[in-house]
Amino acid sequence: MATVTNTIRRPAAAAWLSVLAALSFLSVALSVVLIFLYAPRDVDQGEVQRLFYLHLPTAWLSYLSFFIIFVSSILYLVRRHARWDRLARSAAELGFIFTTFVLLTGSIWGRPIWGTWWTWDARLTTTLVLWFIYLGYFLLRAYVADPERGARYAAVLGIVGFVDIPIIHMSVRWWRTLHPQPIVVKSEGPAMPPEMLVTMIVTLVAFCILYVFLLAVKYRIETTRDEVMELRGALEQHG
Amino acid sequence: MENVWYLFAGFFLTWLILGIYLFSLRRQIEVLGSELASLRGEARTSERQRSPESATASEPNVS
Amino acid sequence: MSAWSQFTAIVKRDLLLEWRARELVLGMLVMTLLTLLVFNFAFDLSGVQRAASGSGALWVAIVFATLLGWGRAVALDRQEGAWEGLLLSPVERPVIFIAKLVSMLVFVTIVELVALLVLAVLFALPVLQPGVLVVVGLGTLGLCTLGTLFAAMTANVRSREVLLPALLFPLAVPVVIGAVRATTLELNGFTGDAAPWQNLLGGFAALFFALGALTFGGVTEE
Repeated sequence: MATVTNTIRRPAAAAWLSVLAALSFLSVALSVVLIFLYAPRDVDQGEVQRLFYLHLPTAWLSYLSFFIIFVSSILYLVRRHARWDRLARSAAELGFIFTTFVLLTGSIWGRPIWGTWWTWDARLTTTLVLWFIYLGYFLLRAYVADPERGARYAAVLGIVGFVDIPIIHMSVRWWRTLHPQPIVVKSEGPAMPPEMLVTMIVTLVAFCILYVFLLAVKYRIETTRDEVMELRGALEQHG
Repeated sequence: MENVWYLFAGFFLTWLILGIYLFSLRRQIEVLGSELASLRGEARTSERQRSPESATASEPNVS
Repeated sequence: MSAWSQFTAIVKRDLLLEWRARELVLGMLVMTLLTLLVFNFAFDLSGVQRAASGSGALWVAIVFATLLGWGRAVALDRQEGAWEGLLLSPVERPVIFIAKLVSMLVFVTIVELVALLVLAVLFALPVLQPGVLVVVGLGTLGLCTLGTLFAAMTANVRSREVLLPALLFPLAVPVVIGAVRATTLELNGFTGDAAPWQNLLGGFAALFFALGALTFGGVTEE
C-alpha cells in the first residue's frame, strides 16, 4: 500500500485508497463466508451452484466496464482530456479480466450441470464475443504507434463496440431460440430463497467495492505512466 | 457432494487470477514509481545545469 | 466543390484506378471462388442440407473477400500517398467515409454476383431470387460500413492483416448470424421467417452507417 500512496501527492486520495483496500478485503471475505456457510445448498444443482455467486457479479462488472469505456470514449473524443482516456484504459483492463472470470466460472459451473464445458447459449456466446472485443481493443492500442492516435481509435472502438453489444446479444439469442436446445438451461431457477438473495447481494456489493478499488489503483498507475512518458519526452527535447 | 471439486476449482482459479493481477499491479507501481523518481532526478539536474548558463549546454545530459 | 462532386470524384478515381489495375477485384474474386471450392469439399454442398451449408459457405467467402479487399485497398491507397493526400484535402470526413464505402461496395458487389452465379450453377442453389439478393445486399452493407471505419484505423499499422479481422469479426457477429440464417431461410423458401433477420441486417447497416460517418472524423484527424 505504501508504494502506491508514495506516488500520490494528495494525502486525502491516499487515505481513500487505503480505506477502499480494507473495505474490499473485508467485504469479499464476508461474502466468501456467506457463500460457503450461510447460503443453503441448492436442491437441484448441489454445492457447485455456489459458483453462481461469483458468476453473476463478475458478469455485471464486465458489462459495467464496457459502459465506463463507452462514456469515457465519448468524453475523450469531445473533450480530449487525458483523464478520460486513462479511465477507458483502466476500465478495459479490468473488464477483460472480469469477462475472463465470467467465462471461467460459467464454464466450470456448466460442466457438471450441463455435462459440457461449453454451450453456445446466448449469454455465454455474447460474453465470448465481448471477450474478443476487449482483445481487439488491446491489440488496437498495442499496434498503433502514436499514443494520441491510439487513444482516439480506441475511443471510436469503445463507442462502436458498446453500441454493438446489445445487437450481438439479440442476434445470438434469436439464433439460439430458433435452434433446438440440447439441454434446458435453467441458469437462475425459480425465485431464490432469502438466504441466497442476501448472499448474492452481499457478494455483488463486495465485488463492486473491489472493482472500484482496482479501478482506482489502475487509474493511478496510468496517471503515473503518462507522467513518465511526458517527462521522458521533455528530457529528450531539452536534455 | 460430488461436484464440490468443480466448485473449488472455480473459486481457486478466480482467486488465483485475481491474486496474480494484484501482484502485477504492484509490480507496475514499483517499476513506474522508480522510473518516475529517476526521471524527476534527471529533470532537476538538467534544470540546475541549464539555469546558471546562458549559453547552450556543451554536453547532452545522457544517463 | 460541393459535397456531391467531391463524393463522385473520389468514387470515380477509385473505380478508374481499379479498372486500370484490376488487382483488387481479381484478388477478391479468386479468394471467393477458392473458398467456395474448399467448402464444397469440407461440407456437403450438393446434399440435402445444401441450403444451410451453401449459405454458410457464401458468407464465409464474402467475409474473407471483404477483409482481403479492405487490406489491399488500404495498401494501394497508401502507395502513392493518396490516402494522406485525401485527408489533407478540404473534403468533409463523412463524404470521404461514404465515398470509400461506395467504392468498396461496387467491388464487393461484382465479386458477389460471380459467387452467386457459381452457387446457382455449380451447386444448384436458387440464389438468384429477390429475397436472397436483398439479404446479400444488406449484409454486405453492414460488413462494409464497419470495414470502412476499421480500414481507416488500421491504415498506418504494420500488422493490419491481424488487426483488421480482430476488430471486424467480433463486431460483425450479428451480420454473419443474421445473413447466414436469412439466406438459408430464403433458399429453403421460408421468406416470412427470414423477414426479422432482414430487419436486423437493415437496422445494423443503418445504425453503423450513421455511427461510422459520425466517428470517421475522429479516426482521420491527421
